[in-house]
Amino acid sequence: MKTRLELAAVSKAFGRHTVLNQAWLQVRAGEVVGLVGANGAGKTTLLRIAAGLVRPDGGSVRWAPMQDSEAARIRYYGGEGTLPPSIPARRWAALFGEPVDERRRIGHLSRGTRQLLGLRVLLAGHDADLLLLDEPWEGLDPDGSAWLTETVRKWRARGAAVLISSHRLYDLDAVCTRYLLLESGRCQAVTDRDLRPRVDQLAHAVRSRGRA
Amino acid sequence: MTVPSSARFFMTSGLHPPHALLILGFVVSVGVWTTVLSPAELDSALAMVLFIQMFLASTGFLVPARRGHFDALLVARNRRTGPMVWHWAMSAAPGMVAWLGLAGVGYLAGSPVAESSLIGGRAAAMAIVSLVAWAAGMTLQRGAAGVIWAGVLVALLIGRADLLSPPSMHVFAGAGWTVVRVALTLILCPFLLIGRHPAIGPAPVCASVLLAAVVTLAVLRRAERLDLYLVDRT
Repeated sequence: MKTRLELAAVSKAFGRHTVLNQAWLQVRAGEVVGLVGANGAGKTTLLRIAAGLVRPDGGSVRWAPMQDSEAARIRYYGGEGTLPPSIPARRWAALFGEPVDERRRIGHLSRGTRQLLGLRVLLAGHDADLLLLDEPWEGLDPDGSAWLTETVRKWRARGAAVLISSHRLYDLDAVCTRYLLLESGRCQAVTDRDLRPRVDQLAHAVRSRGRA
Repeated sequence: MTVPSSARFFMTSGLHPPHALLILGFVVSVGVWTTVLSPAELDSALAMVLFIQMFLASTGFLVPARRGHFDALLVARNRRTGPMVWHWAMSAAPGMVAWLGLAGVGYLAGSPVAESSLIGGRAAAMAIVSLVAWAAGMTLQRGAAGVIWAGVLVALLIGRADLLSPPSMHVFAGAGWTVVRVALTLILCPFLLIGRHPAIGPAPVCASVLLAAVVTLAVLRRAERLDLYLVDRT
């Protein structure tokens, strides 16, 4: 499987606070990688570095497209809080070619509705090599969660590489092929897909690191 | 998902608050009315549009970018320069359209300053404000650069600063440092290019526009390397 995203020895500090310290990460085509870690571990920073929005202080980021002649097609979703609140939902969705009936401004929608709107727009079509999702299940009701899980599976089946950061371990467990624990600024493999029970192991890993 | 062009993205994403556009529309309507009645009064209308442009063009790129509002566009582009140039263009567009409309009306009404407002010193004033307000407001909240700029001008007015010292303003070419000094004065107070002030030669006017463009390019280059980490997720 071809590597779609590679972070090599990536470091990032904000002032004196080191967030990432020589973090290594690879995501291959057809793979869904779950990124777990305690609050403040640096998951969002890592995802934004992977999206090219934040520049690492050290190390390198490499994206590989499906066809060598093209630039990698990346989609990143940072959560419902990143949607502009003053724009009507319908206008925002239409901007990306998606039909939506909701006429209210995005800021006037419930949190879950905003989250679903952002995800529906982002995950429409299948023309991307790499999906980066930051806490995508947050705020979704059971129907929305099921839809998201199914949609991520479809993306994976079509060969996209997917990196998801989430605390929702049961939801992650439904789609991920492997997991990485971000701790002390580094990514560590948590468990293999075949090992059981995965969720308990993940929860234990996150809890114990959070206490440390 | 189809990623829209930068122009369409920023046109849709509400860079300007509706009330600011309403005020601009009102000012233009009044300006058109007064210009038609008295073509020599075009300068008053242009000065009002210039003042509003100080706030309108200062849309602030970094604050919404760090809230993630531009993520979909910026992630889809290899470089930020293109989207940022379009951000400037869309920020300046309402004021510029209003300016051109007024100048056009003035031209048709036979205003003596219409030509200057399209290609002369008055047009330079609009270019300076559009460039500097956007560049100065890059890291600030929307409209903040306009507030600061207006505050500085009011302070100068209260302090009775003599920006129009006659010898320096009559530079037409050559005089090196003096040209730069006058150009800097014009950048600080572009309103000097509107109205019945002492004639200002083409060299300082050109230098001021050039300086404003250089400053804006420098800000663009700097912003290309800025981290767009999330600052507010609520």
